Amino acid sequence: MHILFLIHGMGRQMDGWAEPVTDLLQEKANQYKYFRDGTTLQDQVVFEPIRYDNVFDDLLDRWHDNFSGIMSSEAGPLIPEGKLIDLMDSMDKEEREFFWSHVADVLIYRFFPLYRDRIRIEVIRAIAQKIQHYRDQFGNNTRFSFLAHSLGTAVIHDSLHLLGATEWDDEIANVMGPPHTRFQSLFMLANTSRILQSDIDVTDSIVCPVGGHGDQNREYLDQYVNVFHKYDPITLMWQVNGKSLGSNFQQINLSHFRDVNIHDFNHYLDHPAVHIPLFRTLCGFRSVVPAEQLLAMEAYKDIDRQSVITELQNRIEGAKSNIDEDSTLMDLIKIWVKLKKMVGGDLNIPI
Amino acid sequence: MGMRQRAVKTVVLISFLMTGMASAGQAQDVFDPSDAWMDEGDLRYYENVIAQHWEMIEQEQWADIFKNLASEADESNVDWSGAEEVRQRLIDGFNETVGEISRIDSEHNGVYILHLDLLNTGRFAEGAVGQGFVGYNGMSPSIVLCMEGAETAAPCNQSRNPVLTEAQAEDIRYRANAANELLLLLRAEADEVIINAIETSYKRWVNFLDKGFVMFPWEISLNSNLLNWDIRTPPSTQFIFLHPSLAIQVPLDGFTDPVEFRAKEALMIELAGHLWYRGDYFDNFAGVSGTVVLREDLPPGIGFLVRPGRGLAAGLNWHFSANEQKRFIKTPFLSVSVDLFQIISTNRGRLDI
Repeated sequence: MHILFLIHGMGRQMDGWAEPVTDLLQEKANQYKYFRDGTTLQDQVVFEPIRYDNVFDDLLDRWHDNFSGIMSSEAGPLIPEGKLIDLMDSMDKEEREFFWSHVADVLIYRFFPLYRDRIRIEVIRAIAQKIQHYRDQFGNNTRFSFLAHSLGTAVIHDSLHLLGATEWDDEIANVMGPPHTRFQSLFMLANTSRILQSDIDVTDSIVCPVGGHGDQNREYLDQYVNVFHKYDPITLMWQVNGKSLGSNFQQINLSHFRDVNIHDFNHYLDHPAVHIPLFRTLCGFRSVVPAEQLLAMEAYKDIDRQSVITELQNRIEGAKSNIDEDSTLMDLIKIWVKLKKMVGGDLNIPI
Repeated sequence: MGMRQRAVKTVVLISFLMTGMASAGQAQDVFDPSDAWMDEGDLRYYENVIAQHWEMIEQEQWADIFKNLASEADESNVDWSGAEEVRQRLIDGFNETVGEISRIDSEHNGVYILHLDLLNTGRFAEGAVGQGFVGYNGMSPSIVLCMEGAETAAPCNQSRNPVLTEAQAEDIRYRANAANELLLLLRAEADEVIINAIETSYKRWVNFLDKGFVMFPWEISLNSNLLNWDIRTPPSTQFIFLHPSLAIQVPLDGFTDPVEFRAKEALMIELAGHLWYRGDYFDNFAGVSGTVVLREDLPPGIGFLVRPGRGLAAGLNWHFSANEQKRFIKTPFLSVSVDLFQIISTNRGRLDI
């Protein structure tokens, strides 16, 4: 059995956040003969969503409860209005909601190291427990892979590095790390691991495919698949470059438009250049035969409403012209807020 | 590229596509990642291999077990013509494991759990190679199970990864899987230790941040800069700095004189303070702070706050006097800090907040 951990991006999630993702994967799988005639995707894969947004929620709740309690008490008027309140006042309601539901997560993860580690331990513990659980259920040859999106790519990168590279016990070697344990595949959609890089150097981490460092003790993956969309505003800067990571690093470049929300998890998976390698990793090379792959790629039109595309492209190109090598994360975040319709998880408008 | 070469390439591509298409929808076979192809009655099946070696496992004769695996692979009755080098790689893997185990036996009296850094227990774990090929990246060079019809796809287009027959691929998978299971048995106790250590770290982080004393953004920045920690253990102390909270104040003489008992809300700011976390899981904390208290009906007050344990916070404050003759009002005030988050989160369901 293959276990596929799903890691969400920025924004508030619900318990069933992964259902649209798994539904789409099953719908896409049914396009291929192997899954229609033989076993289904679910027969061979267990989807295991991991949530970490509750950590952000708890923190924001605590601040909110403490602040609003003070503000509504007799002591409230004694609090001076600060820059954050001024900033919030300058945004319209939609921008404010977007800021708190999406951008605040990114800022907390990047700039609050204590909470960054709190999020990482949440993910590390979930992975470790699930590995134990599924090995008990399906046997020791159970395979594990990861499919991460947006902020989730930075979170899973850092969490995997710490899971595998930390000496968890003073006397006993970390058998959850390489070379004792290695994960099958890491699919990174809209990879933010370099954008949000902090204390773990992405180019030197153990989240690297076999052959990437020339040292099996520092290679935690069988393969690393990096998916980049040319017009995704989230990844306009600091893209992951796997040129030095050997032949088990696979780069997939996209430029399709099927949704105003280019950044959406499913907008990436919709493309056969993404879901076919994923299916083959999960179910084998013959799950999508080369002829089907050629047909699927040929049939997949980037988009047919050119006017909308031109408009979106212009917005992105306009945003790109405002950044250069010296731009900061804050410059990028300002672009995200301006282009929120193209990156907001709950603002999907099919073209 | 010449005409002839182009024609040959086209023929190869077409035959590759045709073979691939023809095999679509076939039942699971040895070249697929699942293990549905396995015959549990086969002597090479991992459960049978473990059963065969059970006494040796109990006596921890691991080097001898892997010597057996090497000689059994060497004596395999599978026809290895065309892929002899691949089988040799597997045998080399067994021999390398024998060497590593023997070193622990001789240098460390066979205490494996403390010396797993000397043994690669992931050498025989199955992996994904290229786009969906089954392989073993833990062996050097890796083994890839390439099937007929996929010769042109990477990594099967490399001479070291020849196309295998089903019998050859089965032999590799049965034997490697058994070896992998044996090594996971050998290290099972270490897996348990690591998972428990992660659980301990998790509990500490939850107690420190989720159930600990809430930090505002500037306090997180301050503590992040001043304290040391790693993912295994959060800081065991915490600085408090300009921390606002709601407080209830009662003048101390109010306790003896019911007429004077006037509980009043105030804004308390902990100017600076320190907390210490206690217990194996950081499940309690204590601390002290210097405070300023602001009220609409009185001049500011200064004082201190003591936290003897989680959820308890009380101190004394002396308010400045409006009377220019006196610096402070004579009666100090008992100030009790109110942890609003704790109250709200405890009652969230009941209050339908």
